Amino acid sequence: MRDRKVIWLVLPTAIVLVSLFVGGFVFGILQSLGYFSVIAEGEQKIGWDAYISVFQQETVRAGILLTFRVAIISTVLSTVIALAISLMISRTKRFQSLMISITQFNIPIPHVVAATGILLTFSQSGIVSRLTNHFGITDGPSDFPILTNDPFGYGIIMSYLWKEVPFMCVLILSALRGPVTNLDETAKTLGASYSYRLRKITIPYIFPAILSGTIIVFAFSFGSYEVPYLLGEPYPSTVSVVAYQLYTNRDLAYRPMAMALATITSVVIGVLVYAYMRLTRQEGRK
Amino acid sequence: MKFSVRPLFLGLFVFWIFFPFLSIIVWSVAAGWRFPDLLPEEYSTRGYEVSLDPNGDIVRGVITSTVIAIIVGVLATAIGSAAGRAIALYAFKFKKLFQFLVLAPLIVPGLAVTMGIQILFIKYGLADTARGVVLAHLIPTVPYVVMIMSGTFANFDVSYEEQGHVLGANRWTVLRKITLPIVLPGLAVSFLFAFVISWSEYILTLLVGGAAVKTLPMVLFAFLRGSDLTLVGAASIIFMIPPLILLRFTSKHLVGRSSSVTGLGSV
Repeated sequence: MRDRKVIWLVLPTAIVLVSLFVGGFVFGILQSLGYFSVIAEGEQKIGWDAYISVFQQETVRAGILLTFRVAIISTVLSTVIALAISLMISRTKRFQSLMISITQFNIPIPHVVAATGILLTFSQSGIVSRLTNHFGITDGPSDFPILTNDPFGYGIIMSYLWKEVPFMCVLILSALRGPVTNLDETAKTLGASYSYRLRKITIPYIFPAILSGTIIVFAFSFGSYEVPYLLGEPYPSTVSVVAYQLYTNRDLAYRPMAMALATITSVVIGVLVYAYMRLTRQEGRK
Repeated sequence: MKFSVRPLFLGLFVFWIFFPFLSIIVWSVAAGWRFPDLLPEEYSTRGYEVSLDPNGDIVRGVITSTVIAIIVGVLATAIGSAAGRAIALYAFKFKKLFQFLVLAPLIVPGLAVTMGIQILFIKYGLADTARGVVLAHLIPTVPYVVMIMSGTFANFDVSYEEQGHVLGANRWTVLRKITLPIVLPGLAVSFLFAFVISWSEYILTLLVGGAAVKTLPMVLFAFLRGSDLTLVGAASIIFMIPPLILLRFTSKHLVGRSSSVTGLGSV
């Protein structure tokens, strides 16, 4: 009886996610194998060809390196910075609630706006360049380092950090508001040093929050489109931008390759997240 | 007296958060801002005048975005909150699999799956339509609602409903008079989250809506390809207002015991 009632609660979400999400994934794979091709019949082969030819594309090869670099640097830096900032905020007394509001401030800001802000601030004619020029540190726009639309991905990373550090701060700060404060107080009264309490009490306690934060940030910075499109170079660009370029190429022969790249991206993110969760879970048991 | 680096770091952090906003705000009211100048020589309201032109791209973009985001917000909230209740309150077959299905869209890029589904959207006449865009926006929004509402229902006492039934209320009355009022804050947060995700979405809209459905992010992207930074600034400010209103009403729920965004840790 209960099962029959629950199915009506679960069904709408299941229909939406199975048809659109699972359906999109499956149809992406099918199209990457050459099914549903818009090209005249007989010209398109069914098989794994797209998975080989996609790696022969120069844009894809360059994109993979950039994507991993941007995603890993963004994730590691935002985790470390957010952890430091959150611990500092939790130890501040006077401006604590103000600081918590400030960390929340840009959480809902769209990534497009974040990228715009970074562009207007850090481009060669941006405000920072004007300031360094004013104080005689640099000599004109061309003397300022190229930090946006650059080959390394500095602009993309800065934009992600701008959005994700506060996001992770919110996660960590909300974990820090739990019973951990009492534990910490007790340990302090018993004479435990700050670094000991940090290692043995605080960090283990907020670990789940850090874990979910890193997963979300990594998956997002690996697969997002807007920010690398606006703050990256046309070449090399991240895999999601390349996948969209392949998809919208006038030559429809590129479509299966686009689907193959999209599928590989999803699978790589999935595998990495799974491996990371397994690893950290073992770590937690020790 | 020990020297503390804490105020320095926190100060830098605050500076880092607000600096990009400052650039956008100043550009939005600049009449022109040549390179070496630290501040514009002249200011103007041109950016906002152009933006608020009733027949202009931005006003039309705001209308399109608002309509789509409200529909997405209502649909996602209705669909996802039922599932949130199921996850929080009941044990059922394939529950783990269902939770996995709900969390997967938070990990897998929306672009990847929407590229795959687009062929069906074209076939069934959903491509280049607002209906298609609404459907695509359900992919990232429904999972968030499920997570928020499973948090809300985790603190929900079913015995209130049972008492209503005992006192002779029918199912509809119990839902309207007991359940909905109790979970209303969760529903409001869900709606606002879904609204803002839809409002901010660019690539799914571009993919499904093509040039036919011009939401505000599409307009802003077009401006960014041009060189009128005053217009870019003003459009960005207008784009930010609804999300900041959202924050005003949900900040309590962002940091709290039943924080909605921490759900992934329990996979």
